[in-house]
Amino acid sequence: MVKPCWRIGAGMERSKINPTKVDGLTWYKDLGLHTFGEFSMAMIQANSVMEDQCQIESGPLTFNNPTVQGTFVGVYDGHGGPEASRFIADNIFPKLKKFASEGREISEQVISKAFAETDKDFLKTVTKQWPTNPQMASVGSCCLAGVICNGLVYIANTGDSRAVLGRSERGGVRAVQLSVEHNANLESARQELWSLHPNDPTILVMKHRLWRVKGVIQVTRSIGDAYLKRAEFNREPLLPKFRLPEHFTKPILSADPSVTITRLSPQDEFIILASDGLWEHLSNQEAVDIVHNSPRQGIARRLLKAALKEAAKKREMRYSDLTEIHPGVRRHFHDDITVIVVYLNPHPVKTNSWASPLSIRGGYPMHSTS
Amino acid sequence: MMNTKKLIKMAKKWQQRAALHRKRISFQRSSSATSSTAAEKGCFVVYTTDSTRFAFPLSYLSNSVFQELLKISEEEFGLPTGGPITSPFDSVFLEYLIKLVQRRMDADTEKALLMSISSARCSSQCSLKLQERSTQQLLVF
Repeated sequence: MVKPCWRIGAGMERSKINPTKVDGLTWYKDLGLHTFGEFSMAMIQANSVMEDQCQIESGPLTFNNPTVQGTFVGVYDGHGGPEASRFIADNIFPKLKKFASEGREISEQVISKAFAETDKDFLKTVTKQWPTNPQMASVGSCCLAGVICNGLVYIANTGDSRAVLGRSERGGVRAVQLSVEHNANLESARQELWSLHPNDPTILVMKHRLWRVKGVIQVTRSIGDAYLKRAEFNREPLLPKFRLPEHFTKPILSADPSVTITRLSPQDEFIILASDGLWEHLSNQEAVDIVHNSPRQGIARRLLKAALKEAAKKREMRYSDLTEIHPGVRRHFHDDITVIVVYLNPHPVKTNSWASPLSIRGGYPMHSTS
Repeated sequence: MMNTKKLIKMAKKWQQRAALHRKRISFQRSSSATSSTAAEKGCFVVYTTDSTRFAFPLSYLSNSVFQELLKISEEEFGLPTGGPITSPFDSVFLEYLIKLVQRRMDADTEKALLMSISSARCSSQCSLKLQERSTQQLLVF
């Protein structure tokens, strides 16, 4: 069959010029084009298997209403293994499209439903694999999703990844955090858990100088982590080291995202979406300053490097030496990091027709050791 | 082939030897507050419970004894967030480990050593006190 080749859109052309690349433990796409502007993505692996995943989807957001065009961005920071974050990357966007098609529009409910169904389906997979692969019950992931559509940006978050908006202001740029985070080291997250579990004195335990839910996990909401959601998974054959010692009846973690909706103004330059591996080393303001003051090409990799330099400093070593460390043992020096920078154009890229649909999945192929 | 009993016996012997060394070895201390955080080329840094700073060549990260050491450090203190890696052992024990690693042990000896590390950790837990970081420095090559 002959494929039409005369309808290559701007996004396609850009992809050819700036393809996705892998350099050692770094995966990146220095510059691409989404519906409302340019974007840049970069990831670095520290765990023996990359647990972070990410994606960007641009084009129609429903199956039945071509006027609903937009950009979907997802950052998924897995823990206990890569299965949950990979599952989200495979499933959440098709689900979002399905629910958006029902109402023929994007809404907070549509996004929340996509999160809920992704979690529900992952737990179904855990059930299916329970007899042969019970440790799937201890795998989970944070899920940060951004949808830019109709002059609005929806940020939905379960876990502790973060989205920060860069808003130009008096010659500089101001950081506006768009995501609400769920980490036990935030007072708000602790209050929420204590009020949900008033009769459990060990719902939050301080371990290694950090608050952890039941003494095991820092995030207070997540996708997966079946053993903390349903008591039926908190038992044999799941290995004792992954189990809670006591029985519970009420789910300890939930998958509900916190959603914020922001109307974009011409002052809004870009949004940075990243896993906590980045924010551990860079403040919101430091990150937006770097993006504001640097060329767009390769900006995600630049942020990654800034975070790694900071990580090296904390470990009292040189950045060049840090980059030599193999995955696995590298986790003692920094976490897996994913960063996506989405630039916001006040007007869609093409005014007469929509930019070509775009779909990029971050992190493939990636190094893996046993 | 060695049996487990023999391995444990060996491990105990090493611990006794380590205890003997503890009495003899003393560390050079730098007299003034130096720029102790200067990064040595090709090295990573581990602090001990008695606040001695060790800088190891990166190649040590592929040694199984050192990987075990990092694992134990993670179990003991969690992954470090705002600072350097701290081992749950004191400088004397770490010094002793280095000597063994430098001697290039055979597989059986290494196995026994790994067991010994784990048991030493259990006994060191009660006396774990993080002291103020001093200016002691140690470069191991």
